[in-house]
Amino acid sequence: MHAPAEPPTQADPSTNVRSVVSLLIAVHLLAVGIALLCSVQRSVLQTRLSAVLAPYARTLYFVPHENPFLYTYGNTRLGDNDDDDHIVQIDIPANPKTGSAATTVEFPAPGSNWSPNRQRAFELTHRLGWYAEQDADDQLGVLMQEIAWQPMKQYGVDEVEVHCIRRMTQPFSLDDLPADFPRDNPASPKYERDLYSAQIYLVDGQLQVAKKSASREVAPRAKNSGGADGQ
Amino acid sequence: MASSVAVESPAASGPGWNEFWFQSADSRPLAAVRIAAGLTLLVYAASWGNAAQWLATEGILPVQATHSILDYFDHITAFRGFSLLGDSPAVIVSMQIVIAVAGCFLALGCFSRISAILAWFAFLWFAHRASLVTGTVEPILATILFYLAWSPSGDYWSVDAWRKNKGTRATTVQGLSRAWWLPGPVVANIAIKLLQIHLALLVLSMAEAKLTSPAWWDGEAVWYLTASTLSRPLDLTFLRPMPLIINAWTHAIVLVEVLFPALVWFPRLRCPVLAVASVVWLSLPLLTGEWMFPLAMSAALLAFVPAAWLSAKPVK
Repeated sequence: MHAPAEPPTQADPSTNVRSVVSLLIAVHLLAVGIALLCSVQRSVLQTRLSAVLAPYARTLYFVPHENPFLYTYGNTRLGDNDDDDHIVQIDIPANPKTGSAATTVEFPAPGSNWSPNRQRAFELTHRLGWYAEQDADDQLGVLMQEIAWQPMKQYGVDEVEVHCIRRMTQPFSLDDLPADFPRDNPASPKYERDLYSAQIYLVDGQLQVAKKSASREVAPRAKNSGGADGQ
Repeated sequence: MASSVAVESPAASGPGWNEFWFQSADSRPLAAVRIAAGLTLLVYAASWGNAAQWLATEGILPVQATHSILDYFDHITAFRGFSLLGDSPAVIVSMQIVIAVAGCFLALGCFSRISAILAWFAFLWFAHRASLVTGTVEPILATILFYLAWSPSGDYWSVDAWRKNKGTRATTVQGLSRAWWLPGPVVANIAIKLLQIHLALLVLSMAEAKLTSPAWWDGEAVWYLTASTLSRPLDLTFLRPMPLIINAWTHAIVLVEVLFPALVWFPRLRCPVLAVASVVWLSLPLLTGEWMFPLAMSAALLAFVPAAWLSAKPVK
């Protein structure tokens, strides 16, 4: 037995409207839920659902390509922490035309770590470090030449050497720190490792990259006061 | 018989469902979100400085370079569409200005719906173009703007409402915004509820990500953030002799993100949950330097604030 139906009012959308809206809500929430909660590890079912629904959430940027909320994976073994800081050093040769001396430019440029642009630059160098570890030389080369291009223009040089440097994070327990690493100076060059070196040069208006070495092939740079690869 | 009930009665899909989604709601929380999101958007646009140095042809991340990276990781689909406008400095700076101006209009509630749609599109374009260097702020702002783009967020505390109230037509404020074939207050309710659920899922995904990492389990994650000598905003390594503080800080972040999605729905717990979560998220920039994250989260969390708290008069 139903109560007599009330005439529809402005605040009482029709059944058809409710049905359509309900369907949209359900699909939207399913897509969002799958995209957000299956971004780390996935079962086969989640992978299949993601393949269908994630493009919607990705296009609307509800989820970025990588989950940025992890912040740190953390690893007590020195050099194994994927979240170590990375910088790019660009060795600029002397330029006889302009009279400028040889110098080294860093990316990110020195500045306050409260600056969002510096944080973005660290995001990029962190990515570079990951590519270097994965030997993804094509991607690394593309980004390295884009980073090197502005200093090359600024200093008027046609050739520079670039290095992707990892600054290893001192573990929480100093007992986990190898004996030859300074305990009282976590910013010591001893904590730095050259993951990737390349020569970038301008030929016929086009930038070319010639890889010199990768992390597993390279000896520590001269400034690293010798011998440490962090392992 | 059953089918006739299903057709005739709005309760066909369940009275709980209808009550939850299709009741009228006061849109003050959306107005609060709109103002905070507009201001955050303004700050976000300014935070790029000269964005052309990053995203233009001669910048660090021109379309071609970004394209080749995303293509490698099969993340290219969305980017393709958003890169159609190209990467000339004029386009990049124009988009940055659109975000700033739309953020300003959004905060003021001036042409709220149009401002929200414009801000949403420009922000999406920017986020996709800069997707190699985006952080924690972009997914939060993208989420908020998506819901503001189609909800009646300009019904209160806005230039739109002020203009309508001064107008000759006797229009009630509640009747300002009608989205297609649904009454404004119902749309407001749907938008608020969806934003709330979406945020709860987002916070849960934050917890899920952290729980994959040993550092967040063993309480040392805060240490690793502050021990990153190049990127940390503050040197808090003096905490090393105080492991309990580092552990407590780490566990508090995870605990809040695990419990928030479950507890925020209880009316009595909502105020303390929002307060504790805000404090914990405010502490994160001390470790990461990402001060826009609590700003964006605060804007989003306003969706959980009951309309009665935002109203001078009791809301019916």
